Amino acid sequence: MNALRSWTTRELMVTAAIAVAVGLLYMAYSSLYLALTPLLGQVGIMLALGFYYLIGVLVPYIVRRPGAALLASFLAAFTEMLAGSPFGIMAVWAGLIQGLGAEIVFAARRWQDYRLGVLMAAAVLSGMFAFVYEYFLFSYGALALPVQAGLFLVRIPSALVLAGWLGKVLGDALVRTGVLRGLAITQTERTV
Amino acid sequence: MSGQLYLEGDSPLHRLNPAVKLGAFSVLMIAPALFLSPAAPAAFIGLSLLLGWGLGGISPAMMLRRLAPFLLLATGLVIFNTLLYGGPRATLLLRLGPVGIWAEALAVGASIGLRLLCFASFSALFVWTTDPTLLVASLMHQLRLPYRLAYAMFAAYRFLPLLRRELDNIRAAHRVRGAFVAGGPASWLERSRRYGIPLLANAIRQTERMAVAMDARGFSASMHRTSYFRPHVRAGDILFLGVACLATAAILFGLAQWGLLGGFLAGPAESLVGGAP
Repeated sequence: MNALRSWTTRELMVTAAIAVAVGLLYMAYSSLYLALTPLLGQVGIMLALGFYYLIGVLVPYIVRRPGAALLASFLAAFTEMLAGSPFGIMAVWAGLIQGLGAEIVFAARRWQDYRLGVLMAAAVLSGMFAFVYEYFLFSYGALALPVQAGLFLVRIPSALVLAGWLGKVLGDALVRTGVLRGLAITQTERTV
Repeated sequence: MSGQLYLEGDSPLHRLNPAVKLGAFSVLMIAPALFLSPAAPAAFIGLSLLLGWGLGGISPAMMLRRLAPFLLLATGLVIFNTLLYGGPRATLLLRLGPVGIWAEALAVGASIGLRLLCFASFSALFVWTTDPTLLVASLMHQLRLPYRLAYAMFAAYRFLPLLRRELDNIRAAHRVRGAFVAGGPASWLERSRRYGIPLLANAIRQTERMAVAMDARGFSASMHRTSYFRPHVRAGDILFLGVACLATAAILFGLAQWGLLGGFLAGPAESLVGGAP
């Protein structure tokens, strides 16, 4: 975690604040998610899954530091567990794995490129990493092949919209409030 | 933190090192999920009830009450996985028109449904018996979580109660200006936007002040810091972790001996039900 040394205290605190708030939101979302699963089916509910990748996009988009996706994703999941999420400890491991997926995309762009396409790619790789995790945890391998494909594919549009696009929209909305002044997101020249 | 589920107490589970407990519980939760039989997660749910009762001072009734809301979802998972099962099948239990219920499919479905209950059961036990502050301190000292991050987490949890009051303020501010959003699902999005952005913005503004205050006191000026309190790993913690791993191996071995373990991971689903041929 040497990357953390370059972070200012304010960047760390902003990350923690957003991650904790979103973690609480995830706790409520998980209950809703589980309640809707029998109605929509396990494949249908994947349309809602992308929201869990939001934190791994929103925070890196704002602070633009190495490790931001991994850290924020872990923190949100950790908060979700403490708040009593039905997924509990499994959510923490999921958060770490999803954060790693997003982090790889930002790392590949050397933590310099935060255009919409990159945010969307980070969201999608989060989803793919999560798929591998769920594949073992819920034995997707025992399902018929088209169903497995559905579980993999349906989350992609969800990740694009509920994490990639929404992350950018939320970040930009927060910039307009003025509270992010001095953070990397408001210094657009750094992103080129 | 506000709305925390931690139950204060002094049971052996409470006294365990949180990082070690997290590791041990993760083993107990993940091991049964690697097999396709319903017997494995069922046995581990039983184990979690015993563990809570014997070492945590948590009655099985309380654990079962916690699991009750998950039953509906678990049932959903059972039905979904039974109907869409794609592995080998041999024994037809029931035919409902075009849909056949196969024993192998039902076993896998039940396994996956029970897994969810197993995750929920151990997680509840963990959260009930672990002081969040101790957990973060333990992550810092045992798992090398950087202290700057740990303290940022402490600080963030501190202002959670403020968020609640902030939400009331925002609501009042909307009302005093005559803003009105009708009920219904469409307006739910509008309400989330109107309340969510200011709420998040306020939280960020608070952290800015907090960060200045922390920096002014020399926070993060040095690489290392001393601690007033430091959770340790004691012999009892190592013993617990060892016994948890041994118990996991013993239960899985026992189930395998009885032919109740089924395939490993998503492997072939033979010998899922009943004894070996």
